[in-house]
Amino acid sequence: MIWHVARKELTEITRDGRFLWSAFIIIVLLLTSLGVAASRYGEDRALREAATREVRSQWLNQGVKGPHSAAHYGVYAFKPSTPLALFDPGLNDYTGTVTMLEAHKENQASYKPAQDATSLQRFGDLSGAMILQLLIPLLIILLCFGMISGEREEGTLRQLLSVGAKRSDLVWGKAVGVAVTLGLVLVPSVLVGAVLSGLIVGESDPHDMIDFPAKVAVLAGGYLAYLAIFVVVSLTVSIMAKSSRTALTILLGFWILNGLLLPRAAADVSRQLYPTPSALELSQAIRVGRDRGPHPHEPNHPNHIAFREKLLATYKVERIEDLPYGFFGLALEADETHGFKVFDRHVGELNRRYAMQNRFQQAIGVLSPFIAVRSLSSALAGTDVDFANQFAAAGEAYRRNLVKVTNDDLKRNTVGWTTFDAEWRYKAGDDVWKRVPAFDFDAPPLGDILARNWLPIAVLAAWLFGGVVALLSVSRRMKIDV
Amino acid sequence: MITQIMKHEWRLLLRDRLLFIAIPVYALLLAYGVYNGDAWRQFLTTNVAAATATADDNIGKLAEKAERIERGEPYGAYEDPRIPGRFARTMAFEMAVKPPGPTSAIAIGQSDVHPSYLLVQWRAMFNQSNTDEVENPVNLAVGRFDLSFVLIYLYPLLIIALSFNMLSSEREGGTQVLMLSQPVSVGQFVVGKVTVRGLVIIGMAVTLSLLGVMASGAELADGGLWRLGAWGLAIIAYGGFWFGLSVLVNAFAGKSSTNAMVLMGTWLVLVLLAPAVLNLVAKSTYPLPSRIELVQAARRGYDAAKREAPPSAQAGGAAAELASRGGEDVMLAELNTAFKDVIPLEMRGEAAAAPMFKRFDEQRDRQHGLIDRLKYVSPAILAADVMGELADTSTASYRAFSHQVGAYHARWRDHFFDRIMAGPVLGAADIRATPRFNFVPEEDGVVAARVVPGLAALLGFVLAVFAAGFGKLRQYPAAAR
Repeated sequence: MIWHVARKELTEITRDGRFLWSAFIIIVLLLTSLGVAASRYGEDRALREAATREVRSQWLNQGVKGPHSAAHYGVYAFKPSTPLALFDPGLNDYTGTVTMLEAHKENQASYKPAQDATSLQRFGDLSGAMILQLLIPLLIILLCFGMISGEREEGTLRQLLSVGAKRSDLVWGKAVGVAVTLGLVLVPSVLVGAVLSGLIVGESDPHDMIDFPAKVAVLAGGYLAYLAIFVVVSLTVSIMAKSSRTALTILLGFWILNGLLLPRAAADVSRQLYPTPSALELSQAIRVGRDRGPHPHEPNHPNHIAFREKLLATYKVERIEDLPYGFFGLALEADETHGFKVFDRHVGELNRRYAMQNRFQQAIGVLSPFIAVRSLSSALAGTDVDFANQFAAAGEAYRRNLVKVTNDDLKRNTVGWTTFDAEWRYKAGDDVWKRVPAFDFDAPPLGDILARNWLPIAVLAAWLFGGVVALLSVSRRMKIDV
Repeated sequence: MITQIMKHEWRLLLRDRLLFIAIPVYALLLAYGVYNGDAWRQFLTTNVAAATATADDNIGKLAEKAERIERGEPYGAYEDPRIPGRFARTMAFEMAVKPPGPTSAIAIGQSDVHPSYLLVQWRAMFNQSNTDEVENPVNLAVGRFDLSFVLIYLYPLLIIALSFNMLSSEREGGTQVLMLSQPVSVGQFVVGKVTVRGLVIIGMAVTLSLLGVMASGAELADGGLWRLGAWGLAIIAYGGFWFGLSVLVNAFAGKSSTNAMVLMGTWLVLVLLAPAVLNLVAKSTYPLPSRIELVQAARRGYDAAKREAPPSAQAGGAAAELASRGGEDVMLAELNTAFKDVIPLEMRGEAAAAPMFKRFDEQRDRQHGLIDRLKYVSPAILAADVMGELADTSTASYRAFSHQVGAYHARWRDHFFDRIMAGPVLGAADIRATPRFNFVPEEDGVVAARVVPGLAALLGFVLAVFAAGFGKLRQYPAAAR
C-alpha cells in the first residue's frame, strides 16, 4: 500500500510545473556553485602549493646569516582546505588564510577573504551546503504542507481510507513519495556535481584527503537525516493543522526560525554569555606579559641584567663568556619559553571562549536542526573553527620548533662569544636551515571530528527520532474530516 | 469611503490573533536590533579611544626616554628612540582610528570584519601587523542581529504574513461579492487595506527604530539628521515595495496559498538568492589575485632588492658594540648608517612588488564596481546598501578610511625620510611633534551621492509594483470564486 501511495505522490509531484521549475533552478544553482567553487579551489590549491614550495626554498636558500635573523625572516604558512570545502565553504571567508611564523610572536592568521569581498558577502554564499541547508527544506515544506490537510479539505481523505488504506500506510506512502521525488532530483545532480568538481579539481594533496570517503559518507548521512527531519515534521504539521493555510504558516515560521532567526540569536547570546576581549586588550595583555621576559636584545634592561646574574650564579662563573652555552642563545631561548607561556595563556583562553560560544550555539541546535547540520557539515568539510584553530596550533608548534633549532644552534656554537658577537658576527648556513622540516598540516581525521561534534549528531538523531515518533502518533489519531 | 474601509480593516486587524503575537515580537526584535547596534557603537567608541590612547602613551614614553638619555642615563642600543630610523620604523606607531559615524547604530554592516583602527609606522601597510577585531568566525559568518537584519530579512516577512491574503481571503470566505456590491472599487478597497496595515507595520518600523537610534545618542548635528531622514525614507520605501508586491500578487485573484507561495518565493529570490548569485558572479567575473600571491610578491621584492644591494649589516652590529661600551656619539652615527641602507632597500623591495598590489586593487575596484551596477536587481540589496552607507559602515566607507590611512602613512614616511637619510638624532621635542592621524569623516555630499541612486531605485521599485498592481486590479474578476 505504501508503494501505491508513494507512486501516486511521485506522479502528482512530477506533473506539477512549479515543482519541476523549482527543481530545475535548484539543480542549476547546485551545479553552478559546485563548478565555480571547484575551479576556484583548483586554482587556490595550485597557488598554495607553489607558494609553499617557494617559501620552503626561500627558507633553505636564505644563505649565510645569523640564526636569529633567520628566525625573524621566518616562514609563511598557508591554510589548506579539503576538497569538501568547495561544497561547504563554511567559515573560510571569515578565517585568516596566511600566518607569518617568526621569532618572538604568535601571529594570528591574516587576510580574511570577507575583508576584500563586497558587502554582498554578508548575505551569505551560494554553495552546495546553503542549497541543502536552506533551499531544499523550503522545497520539502512546499511539497508537504498540504499533503494531508489538502486531502482533508478536498474530502478525498475519507475516500482514500474507505478503500481500505491504513492511516499509517497513507502517511508513510506520502513520505516515501516525497523522498523518492527528491532523491530523483538530488542524487543524480549531487553525483554529477561531485564527478564534475572531481574532474576540475584533479588529484589532491594526501594531507587534505585523510578519511575522505568516510567523511563524505557521514556528510551524506547528516544531510539525509536533516532533510528527513523536514519531511516528517512537515507531514506531522500537515496532519495536525486545522487547514493547509495554517500548516503552511507554521512550517514557514519553523523554516525562518530554524535557518534565519535562531542562528543569529544564538550567536548573539553566546557572545554575551562568553565575551571575548577586544583585539586591543588582547594585544596589550600579551605585550605586558611578554615584557616580563628577559629582553635578550636590551643589555641594560633590568630583566636582562637579572636574567644574566641568575645564570652566572647558577653556573658559578663571572663572565657570560665562561658559560657552557652561548649566552645569547640562552637568553633568546628563555625569552621564547616565557613568550610561549604568555601566548598559551591568552590565546588559549580566547580559544576556550570560542569553544564555549560554539558549544552554546550547538546546544541551541536542539531548537534548530540547521545549526546542528551546519556545525557537522563545516567540521567534515574542514571549514569550521576547529580546523582553523588546529591549523593555528600546527603553525605555532612549527614556529616553536623553528626558534628552538635556531636558538640551539646559537647556544651550541657561540660558547665563549660576547652577546654582540653572537648576535652580529656569528653566521649559520644551510645545514641549520635544513634542520627545520617543511611545514605541513594534516586535516583532522574523522574520529576527531565525530568526537568534537557528538552534540550536533545527537541533536539531528533526536530530531529525526522525535519527528518519526510524532508522525506515527499523530497519524494514528488523524482527523478525517475538516 | 476609504476611511470607512480603513476603520473596518482596523477592527478586523484588532481581532486577528496572529497580530497579537506578531506585533509584540516584531517590536521586541526591532528594539533588540537597536540595542545591539548601539552596544556595538559604544564598543567601537571606547575601542578607538583606547587605541588612540596607546599611541599617545607610547609616544609620550618615548619622549620621556629621550629626555632621560639626554640627561645622561645609561641605555641599550635598542632602547634609544632618538635614532630616526628606529623611531619611525619600529618604536613609534600611530593608531589611525575610524570612529563610528553619527548614526552607526543603524547597521553594523562591514564594521565587524574591518578593523576600526590600523597600526601605522614606517613598515608598508600591507606588512603591518593585523589589528583585526577579535571575533569568533562562527559569529562573523552568521552576521549580527542588528536593526538592518531585522529590517532587511524579517520586516518583509511580516508584511507578507499580514497581506498575502488581503483579497484572496475575502474571496474565499465569500464576503468579497458582498463587499463589492457596495459603491466601492477593488482599488479603493485595497488602498484602505494597505494603508491600515502599512501604517501599523511601516509606522512601527520607522518610529521604533528612529526613536531607538535617537535615544542611543545619535548626533543629529554632524549629518545625523539627514541620515535619519533618508533612512526613514528607505524603511518606508522598502516596506512599500513588499506591500506593493502583495497587491500585485493578490490582483491575480489566485488562492491564498498560491499567493503565500509566490510571495515567499519572491522573498527567497530577492533576499537570499539574488545577493548570493551576484556575489558569485562578481567573484568569478573579476577574481581577486590571491592574498598568497601578494605575500609572496612582497617577499620576492624584498629578497631581490637585498640581492642587488646587500645592506652593510655590520654597521648595525658595530653600533651595538660601541653602545655597550658607551661610545654614544659613534653609535648614533653607525645605527643611522644602518638605517640609511635598510630603509631604501625596503622601499626598493616594495616598488618591485607594487605592480602586483596595484593589480589587486584594480581588480577589487572592478569587482566592487560590478556589484554597484548589479545591485539594482534586488530591493533587498539596495536597502542593505543604503543602510550601510547611512551608518558609515559600508565597504565604500572603509575604502575611504583606508585611503586616508594610506595618505597618512606616506606623510609619516615623508616626515622621517630626510631625517633618516641625513642622520641627525631626534630630540624629545621632535618626538612629541610626530605627525598624528586625524580622521576626516566623508563629506555629507559624498555619502549622499552614494545613497541617492539606491534610494531613488528603491522608490522606483515601489512605484513600479504599485502601478502594476493597481493596473492589474482593474481587470480583477469581481465575481465569487
